[in-house]
Amino acid sequence: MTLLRVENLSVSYGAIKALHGIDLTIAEGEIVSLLGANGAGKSTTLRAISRMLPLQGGDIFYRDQSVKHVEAHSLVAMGIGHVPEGRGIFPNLTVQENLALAAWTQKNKQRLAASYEKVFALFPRLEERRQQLGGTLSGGEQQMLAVGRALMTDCKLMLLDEPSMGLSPLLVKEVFRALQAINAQGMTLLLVEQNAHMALKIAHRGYVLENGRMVLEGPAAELAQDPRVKEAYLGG
Amino acid sequence: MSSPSQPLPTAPPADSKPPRVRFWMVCVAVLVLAIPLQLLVDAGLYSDVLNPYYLHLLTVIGMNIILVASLNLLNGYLGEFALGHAGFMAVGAYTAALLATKVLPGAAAMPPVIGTVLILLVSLGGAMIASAGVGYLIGLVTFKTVGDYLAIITLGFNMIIVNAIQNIEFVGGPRGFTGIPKNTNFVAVALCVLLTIGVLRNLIQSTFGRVWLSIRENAIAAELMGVSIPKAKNWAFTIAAAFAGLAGGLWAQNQQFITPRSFDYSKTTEILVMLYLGGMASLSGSILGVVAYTVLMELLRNLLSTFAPQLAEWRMLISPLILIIIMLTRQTGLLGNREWSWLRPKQGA
Repeated sequence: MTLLRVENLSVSYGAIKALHGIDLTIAEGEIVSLLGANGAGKSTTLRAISRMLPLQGGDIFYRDQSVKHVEAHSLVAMGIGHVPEGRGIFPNLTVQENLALAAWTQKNKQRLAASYEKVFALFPRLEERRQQLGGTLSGGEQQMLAVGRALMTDCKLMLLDEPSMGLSPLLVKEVFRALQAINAQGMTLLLVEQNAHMALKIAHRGYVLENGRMVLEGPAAELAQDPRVKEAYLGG
Repeated sequence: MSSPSQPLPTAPPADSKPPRVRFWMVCVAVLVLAIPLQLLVDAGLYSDVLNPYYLHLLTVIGMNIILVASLNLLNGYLGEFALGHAGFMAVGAYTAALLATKVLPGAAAMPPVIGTVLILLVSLGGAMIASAGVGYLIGLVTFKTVGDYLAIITLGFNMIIVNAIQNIEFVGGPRGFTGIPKNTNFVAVALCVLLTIGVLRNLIQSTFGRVWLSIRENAIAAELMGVSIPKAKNWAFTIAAAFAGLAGGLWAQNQQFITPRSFDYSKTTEILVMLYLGGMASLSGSILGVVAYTVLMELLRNLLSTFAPQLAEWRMLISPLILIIIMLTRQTGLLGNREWSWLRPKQGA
């Protein structure tokens, strides 16, 4: 079943057009990775989907329902979670408080407790550091917190903006393992990555953006073998 | 934002000790001290030690605590820079004065204590509602502004309120509003302070209130967590304004005379100085800042007037000087964002 469908989406920053009518679909339970060079429009796509940016044209359907006129904060309650670029945790709140805030939209206490358990089972490190301030965590732990925070919103679709940014190779592996585990539990992921190698390894399908246009799409394994992708993103 | 004050679902950390002093203990202690003190001063007993002047000073401290704690909600917790707090206070003061003199004078004929309590409850309630309404409107107007722009808008609002009142003859215009009955005393003010601190403390520690912190920390992330920023901001302004109105209502019925000029931006500045002196995002800091500032100003008044009576006004030079010194040497204020144990969350976080 199609969870998210983006049709002919275009977005502009002032006079500069960032997306020239792109199409994208994500089925439930998939990991889809969105690849592209710097400035190709990857983050813009995510921010348009989570309604942080105004659309210039096209439409976005979540569960076959247009979210064109839905506000960013209401979208969270509908089930779209966004892990922003650079993590964006609350540095002066504890890990516990960071997570509690994310559960803002959740009123059901039992499901809330289950969400905490899910996050701590996935990232035991976070449980150890519940009372530590978010800003004092290491980069990898902050990324785990950002993912955990999105999980607390009880979302069905998680948009991830460069979760590997600024992490050591070992931590990148750990984060990607966690993403696969989340996916195995039924979460649908849209993954924006510079690290095409890792992204295509865990993804089911992939899209390649170039200068605001979708130039390639296909199963991840096929994309990883595509000479153009190999040359541009996988280092030959 | 349907259900305010939903408790934070946190498990206590293993090493947390229960706080030795709890909020209710402080409430009891304050009332146990305040009520006999008020009765003794009213009866004129031990007047050489229990000077009414000291009681007046405590009353002023109480009203200032309400003002500073409520401004802390906006400037400390929400992380905005609001410069119109005296304006909200003016709305409360004039509303309470009108209610007490024009609407409810009949209640004065009732048995003394009951009549006064009734007038006080109605006038303070009215003051809070009126200020909250104005605060809500300001919140609507400033809906998408942040930082410097918001500061300027709130400053402009403060001027508008003061100038409007100056030109309304019905409330005395520039001459001020006279003949307000003295319906408050130290006990009433102490009760209002406890109410304010209690409500703010619980709000700030609830999920509802933590949203303000999240906006201060990272507005984009807060929005991605499903927080409606305009709504949360509007709530903060409404609640802060309501308590500023409460302080104004108490002020009017304590001084018995109010003039528009006592609510201009210099009053706002005074509130800001006390807030920054105590420390941002700390209710303990708000209390400590007010006590330190008020006592210092009174000591300076006495000290300076022993040299020459006209020197006393020079203490007004000291307060901006204090602000400069705080900003240069201790930006976090006296307490930073630490809290006394009885103002901390129960979980010990």
